[in-house]
Amino acid sequence: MRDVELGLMLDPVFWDKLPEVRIEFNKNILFNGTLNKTKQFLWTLPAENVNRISVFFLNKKDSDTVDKLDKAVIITELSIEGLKYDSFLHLSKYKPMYSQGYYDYAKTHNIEVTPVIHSNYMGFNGEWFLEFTWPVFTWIYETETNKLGWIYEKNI
Amino acid sequence: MPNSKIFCNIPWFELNINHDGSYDLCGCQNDKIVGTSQGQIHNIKQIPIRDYWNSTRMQEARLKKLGNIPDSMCRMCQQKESVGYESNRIKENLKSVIFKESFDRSYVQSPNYQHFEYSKNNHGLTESRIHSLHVNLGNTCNFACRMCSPFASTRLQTEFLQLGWISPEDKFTHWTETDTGWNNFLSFLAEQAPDIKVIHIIGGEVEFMPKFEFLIDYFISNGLAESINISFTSNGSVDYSKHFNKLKHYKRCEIGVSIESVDPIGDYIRQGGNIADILNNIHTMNSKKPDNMQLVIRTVPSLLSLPSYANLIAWALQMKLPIDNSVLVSPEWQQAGLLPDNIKTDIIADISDILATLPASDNMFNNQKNPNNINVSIRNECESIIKLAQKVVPENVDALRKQCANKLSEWDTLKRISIKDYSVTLYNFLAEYGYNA
Repeated sequence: MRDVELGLMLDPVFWDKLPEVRIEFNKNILFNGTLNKTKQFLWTLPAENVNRISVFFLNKKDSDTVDKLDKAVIITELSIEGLKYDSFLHLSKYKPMYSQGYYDYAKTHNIEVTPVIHSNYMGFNGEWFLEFTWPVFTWIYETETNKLGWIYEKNI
Repeated sequence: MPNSKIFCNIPWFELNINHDGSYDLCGCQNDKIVGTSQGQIHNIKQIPIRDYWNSTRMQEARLKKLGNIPDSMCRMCQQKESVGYESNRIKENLKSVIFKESFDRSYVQSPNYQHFEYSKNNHGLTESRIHSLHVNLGNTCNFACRMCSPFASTRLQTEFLQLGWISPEDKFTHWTETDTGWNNFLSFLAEQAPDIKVIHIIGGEVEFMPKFEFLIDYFISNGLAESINISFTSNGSVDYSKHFNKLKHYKRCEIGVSIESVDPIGDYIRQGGNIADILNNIHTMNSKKPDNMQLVIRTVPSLLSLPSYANLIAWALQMKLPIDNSVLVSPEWQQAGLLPDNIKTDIIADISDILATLPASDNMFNNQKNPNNINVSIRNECESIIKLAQKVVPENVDALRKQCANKLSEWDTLKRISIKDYSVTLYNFLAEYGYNA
């Protein structure tokens, strides 16, 4: 039974058109559509040695950000095997596809543009993802104990 | 699938040796066989460790953990879990990566699943090796703590004999001072020391046992220390910083300092101690400790300690020292639940005040002893003590309160002290039930 229970909660931010997302696990599409309200997902999925859960934000345009109005997707919760440790989100990464407009803005304001950031607020198109290994409980335990917790046998 | 509330991986990996050489299952178990006829049979002086490991007793212990009937020997963990505390069972199961929150799914993913299945299908036998040693080197101790046993304190041994609470025939020979017992232990180390990943040393006070330093040196000189977690428990009367140059060679070192209160009642509970000196030793060790070391406050919440427990928690929080409590199971007449409602109400109020100062609970892995998550540790401590104070009193509460008052009267008369000089609250309560020392 080599599977993993995964849960995601996504919050859409919009004022005009709905955010469109695609969710993948190990490159298999789990959801493809728009978000008009907070949406919760729960799956039990076949696991590989290294796994990747991804959320792709697909339809952001520069014109979607006006004054204090924005279009975005927020990953508000990520659960693995029913556990909702904050560290899961802290370990996740976000690869924004910055628009030319943002590059210009960053250059003018001397802002460093980083290709991969740690954020659960997807304000640009791009991929938010978390990678973890299987057995997943071993990954969780080692993550939470910074590998200082003792595991019988495995470390011998 | 084993029962999530019963399963414990200790019998597959841990060996316990009591001060008289008797083997037991776990450091937390009650009803140890130390000092009994069974303890003379299942004993390192009689049976080498390798033979005991797959003895009928260990086979039965494993099968019990795979079964559906709670083990009466495991009441301490059961009590801890009943007040929402992280029991030793839960912590130890994590060493097999078994999570209480998702028992079934993590159990089948455990790297040790095959060991548990093997035992299930082979009458409790195991192919697993001993990775954790829980060793009592002897009962030599300079303290006579109220909730302790003569099997862990020479001073209690003397006092209990004077009180007639033990018999002159009771034996308290240290296995470490017998040739057979010690040679069996050395033979085991010669064969299996590289498998050892955890060693917990207790007494008595370990400093007073010559074999304590021998063991520290043994693993260092054999090049094994860097892969071993070493821990020991102290009554706080000794400053162990003189050993830090050696202990820094270990993968990790934990010193558990047993205190019950930072108030005068602490000296009443832990007779022989002086709380000011003990706190001073803790400060010294905490300031000198190497990077691989942490200090943990070990408590045994009881009827005597609970009224001032909030002050202890506040002190630990200020010192950033985690607390790991072992709820008192025996003697029954010292259990915290026997306190009257008015005292319990005050305890809950005092501890709730501390709880209110802590940040809101977040979604974190619960490691009670992690000093980097001190707020989580202290929050757990507060919540468990509140639940302990809220527990329903046993049906025979009056009889137990009278027994408590009588026992303490008898004991204090021998010592020529009175609890009145340490805690007026406790004196007023116990005097109602006949305390008269």
